[in-house]
Amino acid sequence: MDRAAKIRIEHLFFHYGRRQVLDDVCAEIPSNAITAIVGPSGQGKSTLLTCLNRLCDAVADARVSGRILMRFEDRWQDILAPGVPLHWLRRQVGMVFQAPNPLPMSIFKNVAFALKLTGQHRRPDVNDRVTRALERAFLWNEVRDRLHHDARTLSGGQQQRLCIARALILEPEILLLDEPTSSLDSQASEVIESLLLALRERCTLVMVSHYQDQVRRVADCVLPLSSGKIQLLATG
Amino acid sequence: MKQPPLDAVVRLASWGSTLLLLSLVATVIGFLAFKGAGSFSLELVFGDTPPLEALLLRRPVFGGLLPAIVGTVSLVVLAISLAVPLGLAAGIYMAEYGRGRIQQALGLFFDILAGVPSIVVGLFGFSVAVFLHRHFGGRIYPCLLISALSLAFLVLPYLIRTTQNALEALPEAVRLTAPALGATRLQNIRFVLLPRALPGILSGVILAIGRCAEDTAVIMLTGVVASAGLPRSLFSAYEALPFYIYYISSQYRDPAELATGYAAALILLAICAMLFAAAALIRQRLGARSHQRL
Repeated sequence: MDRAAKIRIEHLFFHYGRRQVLDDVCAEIPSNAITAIVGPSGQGKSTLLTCLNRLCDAVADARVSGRILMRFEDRWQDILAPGVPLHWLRRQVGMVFQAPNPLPMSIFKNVAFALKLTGQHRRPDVNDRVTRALERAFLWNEVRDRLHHDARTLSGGQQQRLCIARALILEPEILLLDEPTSSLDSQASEVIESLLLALRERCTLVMVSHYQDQVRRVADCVLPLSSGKIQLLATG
Repeated sequence: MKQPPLDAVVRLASWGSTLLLLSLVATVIGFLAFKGAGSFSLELVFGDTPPLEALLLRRPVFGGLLPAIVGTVSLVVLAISLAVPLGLAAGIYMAEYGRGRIQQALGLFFDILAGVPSIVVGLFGFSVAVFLHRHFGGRIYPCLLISALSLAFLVLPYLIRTTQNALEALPEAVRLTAPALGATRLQNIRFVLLPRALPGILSGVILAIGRCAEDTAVIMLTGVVASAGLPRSLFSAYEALPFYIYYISSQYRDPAELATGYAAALILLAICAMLFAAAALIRQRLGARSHQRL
């Protein structure tokens, strides 16, 4: 497996108002691997994740400093640099949230939503890509007959895989997952875990996880975060 | 399991208050129906004119309520269509773009505006009419358009605040869904936030419709008259139901005439109900559309 670095975090500080959340975080995240950010609650794991697609910019009173370098087409780019177009960045760095958040529309339209945002409307292309994204998210066989049903009628695990499909349709090089199985039962979690292992071939995955067992099962690399600092660099 | 005493009290009080309100509404409507039902007839609406001729605008209606009904409906539709785009835009600004001191100051300003008594808004509209009359060669008088503008001004703060609150109440998870997929701020507002906030916004519009339909103080000063026939243009005086009710109740000559006032009140309630139903229908349609088309 190619373990060249995909993301390099250098001296990252994050303040939320007066509270310091991340304190001089330095880390390297290998490409085509699953990196798990672990640690106790409230230590900045999710914050670190949202720095990687700069969704943290949406938070009022947030201040970020340091560098986050990402390798796109063999060129390193500092995504915290001013002038980086956020919509471009977020198309390269997809994100899946803790609780499944399908939009109130059909399954098909949920997955096609990101294409709509980029202005791609050609029907055959859209159909193809929706099918492919659903296949990659292990969901196609379960929903192929009801693509035009409301996405909210799916089960929790299916909704979460739908959200993964929605994030995959733009073929991001990096996929961020914020405790993707914490709202699911063990069976649904298992499916998601095997899905993550399969995605690693074409994607760099960074996930926050609370479950030690899960980390042991799927993570190639672990970043333990405590009090806003990386404790040690361990590779699995 | 036995309920704690406080729970039982709160429950009883909520039930009691609901029942009290319901019975009050029923009493008001029942009273109006009891007093006004007797004078309901085609003649009440169309006067001496044959209904078909009146509806086809072949002959004017005198002594009937048709001009007042048409006047009220056109006033409400006009005022709402002037106020909604403005209120929506300002509400979106307040919720999504405004930050810090400016947003706070504007919020305070809109709250003050919401507290301005309608008679003051009416006086303002009247002054505008006088000003325009002086500066445009005496051709502009208090009229339908000035009334509609004043009413729009009256309901604007409600629309702004309900739009803002509906948008701000959306959970963070909804708010971040589209940006995480690379949506720009405008795309997020258009495709996700507004459709999700629509029910809240529509309830603001329904409140505004009610306010426009019932207000008498503003229109009294800005163009309504006791007898004008059907409104001919935006720049003509017009009749309206609330003013008719006020006029009849203060100047009736016999009990039969007073009864027409009650009947007019019933008609006003029915018009409001229809406008509310239309707004609810639009809400449903838009909701269904955002679900299907996106």
